[in-house]
Amino acid sequence: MKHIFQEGTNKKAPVLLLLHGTGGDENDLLPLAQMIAPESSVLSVRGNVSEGGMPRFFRRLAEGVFDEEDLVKRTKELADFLDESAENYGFDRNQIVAVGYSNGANIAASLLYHYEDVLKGAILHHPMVPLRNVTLPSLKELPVFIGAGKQDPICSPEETKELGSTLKTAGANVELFWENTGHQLTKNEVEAASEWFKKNF
Amino acid sequence: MELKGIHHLSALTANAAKNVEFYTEVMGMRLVKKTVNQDDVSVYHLFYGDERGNPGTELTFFEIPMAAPNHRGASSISGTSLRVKNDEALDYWKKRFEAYDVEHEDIRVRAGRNTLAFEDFEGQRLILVSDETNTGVTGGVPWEEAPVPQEYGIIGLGPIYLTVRDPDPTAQILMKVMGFRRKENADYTTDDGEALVFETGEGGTGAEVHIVKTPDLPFERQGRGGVHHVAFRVDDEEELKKWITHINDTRLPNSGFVERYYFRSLYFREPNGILFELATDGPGFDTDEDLAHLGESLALPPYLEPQREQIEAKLKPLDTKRS
Repeated sequence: MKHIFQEGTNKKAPVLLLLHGTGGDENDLLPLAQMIAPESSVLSVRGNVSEGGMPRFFRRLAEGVFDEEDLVKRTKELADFLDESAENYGFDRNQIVAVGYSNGANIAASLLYHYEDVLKGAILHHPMVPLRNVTLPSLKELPVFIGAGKQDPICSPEETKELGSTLKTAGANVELFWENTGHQLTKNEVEAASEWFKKNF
Repeated sequence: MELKGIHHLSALTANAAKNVEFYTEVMGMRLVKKTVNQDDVSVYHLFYGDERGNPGTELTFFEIPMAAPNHRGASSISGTSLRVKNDEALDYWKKRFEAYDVEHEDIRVRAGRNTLAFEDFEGQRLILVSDETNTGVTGGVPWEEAPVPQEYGIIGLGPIYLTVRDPDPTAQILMKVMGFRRKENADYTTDDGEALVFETGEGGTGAEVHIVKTPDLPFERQGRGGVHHVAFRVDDEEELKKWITHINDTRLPNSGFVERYYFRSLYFREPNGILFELATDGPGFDTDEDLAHLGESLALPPYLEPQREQIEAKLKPLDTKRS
């Protein structure tokens, strides 16, 4: 997968896995990493799917309608890529915290839905429920931050709550952060995520 | 969970009286129900079908008296097939169309079957398809009292044509959400563009959707002679509820459960904007009328019955009583 790896000043800090939204690329979320964990190494990945030239992490059939078959395939592809990257860049595979926005948050959530011990934690900005009717692996105390907008037209508050409670049921420690805004990522939300990160890691 | 095939297709007419005349007298279909559009009770909703309006045989029309003509284009249901038993029946129909001055083409092969394309008085695009070599979903039984010999009568709806600029999103929804499959080696070329063939359930003429690719066509403007939606068959209400959960899970915006009295439904638009419906096989059209007298008087579902007087006052009388 096309990506950027930046080595951090603190090798013991978790590695941030950055996952952009639809139409973004691996440069998009680099400033977020600076705000959340300036000392951490960063692995920023570009989605392998192109929708009319816009990079994404998995296909969708229509707005908000996921191609579940492709989602499962791409989730595995990303998980494998994390294994390879840890090998290639010599970081600890068990110390990855994902930071995803929108489509990137969806694939991060999908990692948690499919694999045990795939992440050490996750910051999900405006995620949706990646898929339904699946049994999650044990997430045993895994810290998850979910940022959502009460006016988000793409992802309803019900959907956010459903995702939160599904992750909780699987054992994750979920913190929900609400803004009175839409689908955009606000400075407030990033600051809250940054606070959450310092508290947990 | 599998869709069994085509359930019905609903089209638009501006003239209920002429519509009844054409579909019963020329086409020999049975008017199985004369009712009103449940979403606008000031207009008729006419159902034609086989002897009892079996699922898969129903062609229905909403009357919109002032409707402009349909402007053909993309993101539309662009053709409706009607099944007949065999090739011999097509020869009968060709002569019949000549006798009745119905606009028609010559018999030609489409997707490996003999077909005869024609149009009704409003330019509604219809195609007779021969079941000579067909296997799969069985057809219905033409009404024996129809003016067309029973062996040549229409036994149901055949392949439904969708015309879109980009078939991919529609194809994905058909296959990944609705459980259709690509029919092997069945794609073909039409006058308008490449056609991709999809099937569901037991397959065959009663269970196919053909998507025609027309990248440069402007969008359709729906009017008289156009098609409103196509419905696909689900077994019963329990099955429909499973589909509703499934469609909700995919996040496709949809109508939720709709009570249509003669069947139960769910409506949603596929990504190219064409309206799809899933409808139950039952209860059917003889739930509120005696089989011998289907369609002769205005039928209203129980929840509209209290308003019968007001409803009838607004409708132009339409005599469908058989002497």
